[in-house]
Amino acid sequence: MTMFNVRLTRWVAAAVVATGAFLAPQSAQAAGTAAGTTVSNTATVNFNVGGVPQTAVTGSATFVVDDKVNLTVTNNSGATVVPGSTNQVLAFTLQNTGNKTHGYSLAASLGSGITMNNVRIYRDINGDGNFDGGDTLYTGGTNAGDLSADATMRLLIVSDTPVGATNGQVSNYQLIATTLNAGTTTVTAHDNAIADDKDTQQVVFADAAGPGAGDAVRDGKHSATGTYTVSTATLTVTKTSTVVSDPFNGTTNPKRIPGAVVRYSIVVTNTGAANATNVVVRDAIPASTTYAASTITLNAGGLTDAGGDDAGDINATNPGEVTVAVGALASGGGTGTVTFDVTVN
Amino acid sequence: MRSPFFVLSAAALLAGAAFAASPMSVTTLVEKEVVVRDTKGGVKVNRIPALTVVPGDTVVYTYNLKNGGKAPSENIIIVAPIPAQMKYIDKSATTQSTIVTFSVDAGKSFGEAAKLEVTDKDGKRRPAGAGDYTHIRWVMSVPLDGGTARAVAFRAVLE
Repeated sequence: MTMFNVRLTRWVAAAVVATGAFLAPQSAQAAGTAAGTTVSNTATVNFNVGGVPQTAVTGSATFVVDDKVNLTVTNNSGATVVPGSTNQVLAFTLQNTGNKTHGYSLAASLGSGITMNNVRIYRDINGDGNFDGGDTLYTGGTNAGDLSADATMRLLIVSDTPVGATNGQVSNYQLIATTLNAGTTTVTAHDNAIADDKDTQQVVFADAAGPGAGDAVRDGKHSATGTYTVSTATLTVTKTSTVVSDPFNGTTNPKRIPGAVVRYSIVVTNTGAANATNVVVRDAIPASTTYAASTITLNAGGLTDAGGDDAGDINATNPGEVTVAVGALASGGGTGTVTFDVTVN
Repeated sequence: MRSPFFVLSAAALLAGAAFAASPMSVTTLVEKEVVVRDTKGGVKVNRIPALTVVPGDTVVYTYNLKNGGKAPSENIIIVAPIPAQMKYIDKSATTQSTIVTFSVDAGKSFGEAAKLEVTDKDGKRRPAGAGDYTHIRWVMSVPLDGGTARAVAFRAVLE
C-alpha cells in the first residue's frame, strides 16, 4: 500500500517592506532575487511501517537573500575636441546590477594624457548623451541619486579643452562610481569581517575591477574611461617665386633684372585632422618691386584688384598687401593656391 | 537561528504527541557551493553553510532521513519543493536507491524528466527544462531499517 497524501509547502516572503526599490520582490530581474527575500524549503516525507501509513514528517530550512552589491560604469562616447573649445562631453551609463537599491557617489579623474580644464560631472537628465540645459551638476561627495536593482543613470564628464592642445593629443578621463547606502552619503561597507548569519540580510560585494585608479575587484566601485582626442587644423604655407619674363630675354630663360616680372605662388595646405575655415592669405608687396595690375589668382582663377567684389584685393583690405580669402581647407591635405605678379624696380 | 538544521515541524510534533512519537525524522541542510583553489593551482568545489547567499550562488539542499524506530519504514516518498527564486540544476538530484521524478505543476503530478511538458507563453507545448520544475520527488525502492539514516539531495542556483 502506498499513500500519496503529500503536503507541500512552497512559499516566499519579503522580509523587508518594499520601498519602491523592488518592482516586485518575486519577479525575475536581471539582477536576481531581491535582497531580503526569504527563501524557504520544506520537504515532506511519507512512509509506512509494517504496511501502515504513518503521519508524514517534514523538515524545513530557510535563508535570507543577501545584498549583492554590483554596479557597472560604461563609456558610451568619447569626444573629438579642438583647442579652446568649452563644455566638451564624455558620456557614461551607471547601472545597478545588484539586487537592492543603492546610492552612488561619483568622481572624475585623469587617467592619462593632457589635463582638461574645468572638469565637472553632470547627470544627463534626458539621457541623450549631450550636455544640455536640463542636465544637473553633480557636487563631489554627494549621493548622485538612488538606483533600484537593474536601474540606470546617464552621466556626463564635461570639460574645456586647453588652448595649447595640439593635434592628436589625447586625454583619458575615468568616471568612478562608489556604492552608497540608499538615500545617504554613507559608503556601503561589506560584511566580510562580521560573522555570517543566514537570517540577516548582509552585504556582499560582487563588482568587477575597473580601469579607474583604486577600482579593484569586489570593492563596491566601478569605473570606465572616456577619451578626448584633440583634433585641429594644421596649416603649412609654402611660398615660391618664378621669373615670368624680363625686358631683354622676354619669356625665354628670363632673369631677375630690373623690369622683370616675378610671380609669387603661395600654397596653403591643411595637414591636420580638422577642417579649417575662413583661411585668409595676406602678403605684403616686397620692397623694390611693384605689383603688376590684375594678376591675383586663387586656385588658378583670376581675381580683380578691387576690394569687396571677390575673394581677393590689393591695397584694400590691408594697405600695401595682397589679401585673398581662401575659405575652407579640408582636413588631411586640402590646399589653396594664391599667385600674384610683381615687377622688379 | 544559527543552526542550519530545523528538526521537525510543529504539525509533526503535535501528531507525535497525540499518538506515538514518529520513528522517522527529516532534517533539511542548506549549503552553498564555493569554488576554491588549492595550493597546487587545482580547483575544487567546497560546501559551506548557506549563510551568505546572493543571486548566482549554487545552493545544495540535502534531506537527511533517519529512522529512529525499530521497525523498517517502507514506501518512503520524499517531496521537496524547489523554491520559486531558485533554478534546479539538471541531473543534480541524487538517484541512489530511488526513483526521481519531477513536477511542473506545483506538485499536483510527477513524471520522468524526459516526458514532462509545459505550455509556452504562446500556447505551444514543449519539453520541460530544469527551470520548469517546481518539485522533486524521491520514491525509495528499498526500506529504511530501524536505526539507520539515508540522505537525498539536489542543487539549485539562486536567480
